[in-house]
Amino acid sequence: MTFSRTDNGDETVLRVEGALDAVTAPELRPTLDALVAEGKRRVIVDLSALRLIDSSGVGAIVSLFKRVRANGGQVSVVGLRDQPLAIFRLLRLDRVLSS
Amino acid sequence: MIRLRVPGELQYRDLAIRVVAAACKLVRDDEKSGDRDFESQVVSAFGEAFNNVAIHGYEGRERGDVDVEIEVEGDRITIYVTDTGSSFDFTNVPEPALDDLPEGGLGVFIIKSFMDEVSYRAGRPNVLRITKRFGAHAAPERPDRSDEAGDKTG
Repeated sequence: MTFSRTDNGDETVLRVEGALDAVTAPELRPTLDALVAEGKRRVIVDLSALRLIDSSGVGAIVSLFKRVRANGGQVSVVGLRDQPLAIFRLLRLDRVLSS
Repeated sequence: MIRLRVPGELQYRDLAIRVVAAACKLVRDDEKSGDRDFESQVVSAFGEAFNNVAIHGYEGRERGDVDVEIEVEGDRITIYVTDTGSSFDFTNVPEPALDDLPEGGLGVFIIKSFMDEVSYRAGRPNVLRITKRFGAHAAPERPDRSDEAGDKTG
């Protein structure tokens, strides 16, 4: 898994590539915590290059969504396809997180 | 039969998943269902099963192996996941309240939702058997929860 963060004012785009799972989700957590701590108002999570996600990866994104929302901000997930889309659909997260 | 034995550690999860994904491509779409989610759903379910063993089954004890056996018969794939870790009670896992956006407790839900048949035999070894048939059903949004630890019939 690799990820990149691009800031443009209050908006941040977080692009995650590869696999976000029980192995790699802990690597992403500090970046997610930083986005919350910085009080970002709008976070766009770009998963167009994500090959695989599991429940641990979903938990990390949902945690980000809840904490940013609690701060009055918004998280959107874009680019879902293939296996990650199947997971988001099953968990009904596509309705909540997809912009 | 395709057989794979890897240590019950998370770093071997991706390797095992790639084998399962390759096996999915051997399954025939006899009914021409065009089910594009078949591989995604099988891979998702297997990945959660592997997580359960690596994270919970071997937690606090000497790590053993995970044996993966894959049977491809026509339009059907069956995967046996065998381990010697702590047993896991599939019957007492509460269904997640999806509207509350849970951050955990989703693994068994994903397994049961995406596979047509799920059975688990606790013991030494523990054996999880998961089966899916191509085009058996579309990706469920509200899966039938009546199967508990036994087989689905849908």
